[in-house]
Amino acid sequence: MSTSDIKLEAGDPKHARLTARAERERLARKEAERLLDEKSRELYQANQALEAVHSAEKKAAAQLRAILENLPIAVLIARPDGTVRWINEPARGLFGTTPNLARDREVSAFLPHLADAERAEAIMSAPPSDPSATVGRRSDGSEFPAEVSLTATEDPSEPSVIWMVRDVTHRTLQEQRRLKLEDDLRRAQRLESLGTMAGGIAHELNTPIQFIIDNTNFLGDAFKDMAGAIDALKTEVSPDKCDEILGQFDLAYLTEEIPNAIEQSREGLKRVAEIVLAIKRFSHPATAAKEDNDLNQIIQTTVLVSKNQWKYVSELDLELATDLPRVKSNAGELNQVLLNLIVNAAHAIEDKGTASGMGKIRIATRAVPGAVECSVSDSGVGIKPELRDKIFDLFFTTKAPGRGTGQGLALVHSIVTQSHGGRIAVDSELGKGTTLTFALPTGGDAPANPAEGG
Amino acid sequence: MKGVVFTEFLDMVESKFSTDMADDIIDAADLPSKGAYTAVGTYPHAEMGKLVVALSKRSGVKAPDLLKAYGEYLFGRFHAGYPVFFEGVTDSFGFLKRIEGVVHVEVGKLYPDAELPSFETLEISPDRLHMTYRSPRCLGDFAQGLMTGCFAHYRETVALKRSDEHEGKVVKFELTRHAA
Repeated sequence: MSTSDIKLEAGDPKHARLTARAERERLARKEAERLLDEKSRELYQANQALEAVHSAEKKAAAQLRAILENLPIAVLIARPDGTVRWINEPARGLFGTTPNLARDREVSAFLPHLADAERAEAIMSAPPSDPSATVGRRSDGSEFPAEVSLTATEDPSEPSVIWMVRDVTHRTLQEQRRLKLEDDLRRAQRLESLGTMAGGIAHELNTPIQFIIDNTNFLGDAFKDMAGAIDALKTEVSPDKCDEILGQFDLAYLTEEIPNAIEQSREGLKRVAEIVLAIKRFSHPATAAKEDNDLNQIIQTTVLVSKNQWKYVSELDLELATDLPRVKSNAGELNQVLLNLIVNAAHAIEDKGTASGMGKIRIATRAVPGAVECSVSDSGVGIKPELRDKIFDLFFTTKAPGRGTGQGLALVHSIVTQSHGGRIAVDSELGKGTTLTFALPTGGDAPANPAEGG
Repeated sequence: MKGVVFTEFLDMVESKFSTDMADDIIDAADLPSKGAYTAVGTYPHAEMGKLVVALSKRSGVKAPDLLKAYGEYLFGRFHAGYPVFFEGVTDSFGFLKRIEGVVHVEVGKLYPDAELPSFETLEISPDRLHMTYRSPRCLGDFAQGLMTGCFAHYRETVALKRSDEHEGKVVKFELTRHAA
């Protein structure tokens, strides 16, 4: 039976009940419509607010991304399991990678000493506040000193560890340079003190040496006179008696040995005087200003002063050109250059061993157009070809700790090229020896490269 | 109180008793809303009390029993209307433990003005659960009906020990599950 078949009169109680029920339904429908309208408005307003928030969040996200991409620091955002979620542009440049290559890789691929998963979990619970010094690894496997700061995001729906990595290569180098400068300064101060003291001692020794030499000369001359007097006495006194008296004093022996002793004393004193003079020259290189110096004399002085360094392992030959022009130079600095080259040569010979006899150091000078050239050759171990480009690098050394700091040849290079506008070259054969040749300009023009020039 | 509680109640009265019974109790209860309920509306909870009293008078069934029966009925409707709340839940205790932390949280998002009771649970053992109902509306019987509806849904036999405190504003249930 359909509702159209129901026929009720107005006074029928069922009619009243159906009317009431219809009224309830009508009222309920109107209430539902009102609520629907109200909810629609609320939904619209909520949608508008949501769109505004979304827009603001998009702007904020874009700003944040721009900031992250342009930070002067590499940023890696990783998941709690230690895999990379995102890296910024500086990080891509620093590690030599791309977003696709970096994504989902372990952070430990970039920071091998720090970023293991276990540590990442610890970081999530308590991020360390202080930066840590560590090592970063580029995609080509090369490593660099790095400083790392960490933080964890608080969003529980997407927890992340943020790694901020700074390449401190430059800073480390600067720090090494600063330490080197401080070390150089301390050494220079120490050398200055020693030089001052040595110069003072040399000055004090010079005067007594002079009168000892004078007195020795006097004793030599006086002995000659005394020998003449004795010969004259022999003519006046009976020869037999004279021989008897002189024989008691072994005059024949004295006559033969005293001149020898005096001559040996003279030689010794001459050498002492030369050493004292060399110490004076070495410790007092006049001034820092350049003067016309005789390179040969500087070489001789340094050879003498450094004798203790080489005399047990090597012979030293000097082949100094007699026509060498004077060179405008700082004698103190050239002393340093030659001292370093001679000591290096002695060490190279010592490293090779002296079982087959003493080694050989040869120092030669010659005049070349516009310059003077000096070469220091040794018969030592030689330099491996792959290391030749590095020998003038600061802190590069193949010597055992305590024997070399890697500063000597860097200093030599600096003095020759920067301080004197010269050139330096190395020629070496492994197992045979090494020749270091430097050229200093005598005029205004820089000299030809010694390796090319001869 | 949300309108759905009223519309479902009247649906139950119509199905378990008759349409006329629904009309009668609406007339007798003298409701401000005149019984014109819509599921998404909100109405004074006192109207539910009046409807239950009116039904009790006409049916001869005690009001607490009516509320328990309604709770059982509503649980079935609840399961049919909101299956998402039952996903991954395999037993009655698992569902009861989710009411406060999951179901009420979601209801609160949909109806920020809803005044919900609290259900605190304490798991004594895998088969023993203590549950505390708290509400100024004193609808512990209704809550009990919902619980028994839940046990029936999961086909479990659960013994229920109940103690009312603070004039029914706090009702503590001690539930012990037995093997079927």
